[in-house]
Amino acid sequence: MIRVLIIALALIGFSTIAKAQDADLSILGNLVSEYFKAASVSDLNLRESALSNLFDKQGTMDAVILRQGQSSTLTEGTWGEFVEKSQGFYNSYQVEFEESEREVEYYLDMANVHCLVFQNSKEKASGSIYYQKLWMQFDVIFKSDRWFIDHVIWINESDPYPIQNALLQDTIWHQTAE
Amino acid sequence: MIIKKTYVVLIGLVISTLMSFGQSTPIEACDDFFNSLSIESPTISNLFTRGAHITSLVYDSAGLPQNKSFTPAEFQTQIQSLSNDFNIDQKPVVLIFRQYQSLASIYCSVWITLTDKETGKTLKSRSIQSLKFVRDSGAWKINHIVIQNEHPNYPIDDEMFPIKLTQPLESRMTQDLSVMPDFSTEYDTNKVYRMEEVDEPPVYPGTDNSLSDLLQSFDVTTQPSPGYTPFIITIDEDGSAYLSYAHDLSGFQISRAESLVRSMLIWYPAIKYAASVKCKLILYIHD
Repeated sequence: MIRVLIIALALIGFSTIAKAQDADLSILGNLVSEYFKAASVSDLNLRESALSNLFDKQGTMDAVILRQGQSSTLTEGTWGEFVEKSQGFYNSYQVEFEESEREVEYYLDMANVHCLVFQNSKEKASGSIYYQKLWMQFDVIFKSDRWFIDHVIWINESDPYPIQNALLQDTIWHQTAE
Repeated sequence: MIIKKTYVVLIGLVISTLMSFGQSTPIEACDDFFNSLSIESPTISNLFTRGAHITSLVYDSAGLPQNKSFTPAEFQTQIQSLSNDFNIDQKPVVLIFRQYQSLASIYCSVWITLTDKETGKTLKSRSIQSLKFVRDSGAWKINHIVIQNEHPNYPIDDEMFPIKLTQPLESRMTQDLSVMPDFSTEYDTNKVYRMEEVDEPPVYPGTDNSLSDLLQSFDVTTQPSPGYTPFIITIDEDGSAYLSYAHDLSGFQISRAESLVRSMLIWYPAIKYAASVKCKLILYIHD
């Protein structure tokens, strides 16, 4: 009975990955949605496999951690390094992402995607749920008939500054001195 | 002694204040970056975070996009190499700016002018660039850049290059050309002359069609046209040809340009004041 359960769970896992790979990544929106699905996968190998399908080989993944006193820490690295370093967090928490807003600028084979996202983290041991709001920015490129993530960076919300303001854009005309 | 110490501390404070003042907003950091690219032998690595990358999109011979990734140090080397031959002027035109606390994003159009230091010939290029900025130890630094040059078949929207802003840039290009010094009366054995400066231009051996047939077989032309990228070959005093400027080319284009040069026979070199001199040719290779 246990063996059947394990096989069933494995099949569900593989089917999730298969669906991720089946998504039409020539559509920019699918790439972003698939990222949030992949980043929610608990199993390290499955998460790594799903993300490897989305990132360019040289893709990078950075984070700005903002604290209450408004001091911040920057973490930089390849997406592979991030998967490796975040393993401890994923061991303790079940992570889910819920995208609330998205804005895109693009020209030809590059696009710049801004997302406001709720990240829900459920502590596996206690069942306690923690959530934070993030501003995530994706730099994506189009090659080989599909989109790839070249770079992703995010910052968390910190009181009393609403992260919603991140999407308020200014258009600036740069004056050239004569 | 105490006075000396105080003096040193004060100088330190002034320097650190000046340094942080220089990049106290992401817009200022952006200006610092583009202004730095326009000076002789630019130093730009210090404007980036430690793990920063620059991604540039280029096209192969089939017109398919390929991305090249550079560290700031590698990017600096590329720019310095380009600045050996050209005066570089990069100006952001329209910037779409977003910021939340220590993270900022600028999506902008960029006007690029390359002026050949010897001939004064000016090449114009336009691009869209996506820059990410992070406040790191009090100063704003660049965390990532993606550069997409304009494709002649897909011009960038006029909203990103409004005429009101591009007209002064166009007119400045014309002014730059008019103030370029005239080198034509100088004779220098180390100088690489342009075709218009020599008494007799270099001649490719064989029939009248030998050179044009060779260029055609590598999809190379002598005249600029949409979809073609410029590069320079130099014909030495002994008639041998070599690739002297290929920085705008993709890896595939460079290998094709190198094959072209290797396939060339020995030229009859250019003549100036009855002597053989170095001479350069600007050619254009298909994207």
